[in-house]
Amino acid sequence: MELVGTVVVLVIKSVIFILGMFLGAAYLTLLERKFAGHVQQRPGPLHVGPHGFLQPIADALKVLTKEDLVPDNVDKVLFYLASLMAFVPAIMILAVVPFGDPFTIFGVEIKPYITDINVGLLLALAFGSISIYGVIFAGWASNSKYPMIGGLRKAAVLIGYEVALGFALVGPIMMAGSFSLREIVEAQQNIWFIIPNILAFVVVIFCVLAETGRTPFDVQEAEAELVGGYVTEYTGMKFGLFPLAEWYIATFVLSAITVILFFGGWNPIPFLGWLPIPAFVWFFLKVFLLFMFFLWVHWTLPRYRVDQITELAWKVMLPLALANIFIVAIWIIIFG
Amino acid sequence: MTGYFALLIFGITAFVVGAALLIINRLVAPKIPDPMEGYTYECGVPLYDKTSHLSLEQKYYLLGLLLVLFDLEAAFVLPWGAIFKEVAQINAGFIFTEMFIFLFILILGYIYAWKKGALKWQ
Repeated sequence: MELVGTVVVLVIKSVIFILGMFLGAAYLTLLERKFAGHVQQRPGPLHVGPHGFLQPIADALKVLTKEDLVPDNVDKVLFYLASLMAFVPAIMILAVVPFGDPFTIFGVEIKPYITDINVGLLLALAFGSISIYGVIFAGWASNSKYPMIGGLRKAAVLIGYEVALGFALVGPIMMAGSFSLREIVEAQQNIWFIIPNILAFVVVIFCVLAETGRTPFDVQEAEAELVGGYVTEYTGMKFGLFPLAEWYIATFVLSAITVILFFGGWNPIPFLGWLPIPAFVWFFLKVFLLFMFFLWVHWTLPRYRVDQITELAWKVMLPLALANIFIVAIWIIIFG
Repeated sequence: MTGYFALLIFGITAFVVGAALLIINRLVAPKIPDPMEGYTYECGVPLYDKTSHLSLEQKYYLLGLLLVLFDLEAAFVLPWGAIFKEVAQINAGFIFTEMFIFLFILILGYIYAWKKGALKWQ
């Protein structure tokens, strides 16, 4: 009986988190399109609702009511599985992201996270890697040249940045002495980990851009050369899940993890701690600023070639990440 | 264990939501058959290759091998990082030199791979 109660509570909480993320991601699309519009000196979505405010709902309905095309010679099981493989691991990262300390309302303790396990950061890294299978499956299952090349390119980029990301995460872990994201935030009450870990932060920024396929690194869909890249053969909701997972959910969640690792999570900005602002507002403010930074990069920079990106990962990012471990080790020995 | 149980429940819920979206799309969307509907995309000319499941030169075979190597190294470095601060208060020299001998050997291999041209997109 107790088990059933736990399961029901967990399912309700999961549904709230997933639906919240969906709604958030839907409005992040509006934010991105408005931002892109202003970067390119055009108004962006304007006609659905006041100032385009209902555009995400119109988009969702459109994607849901498009014909579900399956080309003749695709691998049907993998073709459908690819959408889910892109979406499920991307949203699974959300399960280990804490949005604040537990608090009590009306005598009920509410934990603003799904789970706080002692290997949270490793799980986030693992789910980030698994979500790449979606792109690679999509490339293979489509049985068409452009998706195939897109999927292979994504694999090439990822095997480079995966290594650099793994070594870059060692710095914050050394400072906090834990893999739990909540303990990492608690360890940053006095000083943010950006201070000795600045090199790791640079590496992580590049890795997030590569992993979410945003513009300087979006070789997997490079629309000028590969038509639509790995989504060329996709329609309807099967297509809709890819950008939703990669561009919005993954970017948002990885921004949150970067904020937790380097910018103190929900700790207030230094010297502004006296302001009466709740912790989760600080957290969302920082995540929002980092997300806007990624959008800014996306809509201003041109695309690199795939060989340049891969060599950048192996020849610049990996040495930087290793140097960061060295710097942080000396920092800890000197300052405790 | 509750932590992993919650993770499992969350994963199943996410899978169900994703699958439900795909099924709703299949139920709601109109079906208007078209003779060219199942044709693989090609830029305005008849399809040259019927399939793309053929042997293809991917130019990063060595990088793929290096990934396996370096990811294994990362698996050794991560637990070391987690206990570094604790041990450094007792015996800083030991834990520091220990890992940097390990990393030094790793970096030697990395320099060798670089000089041999394995890091190039070939």
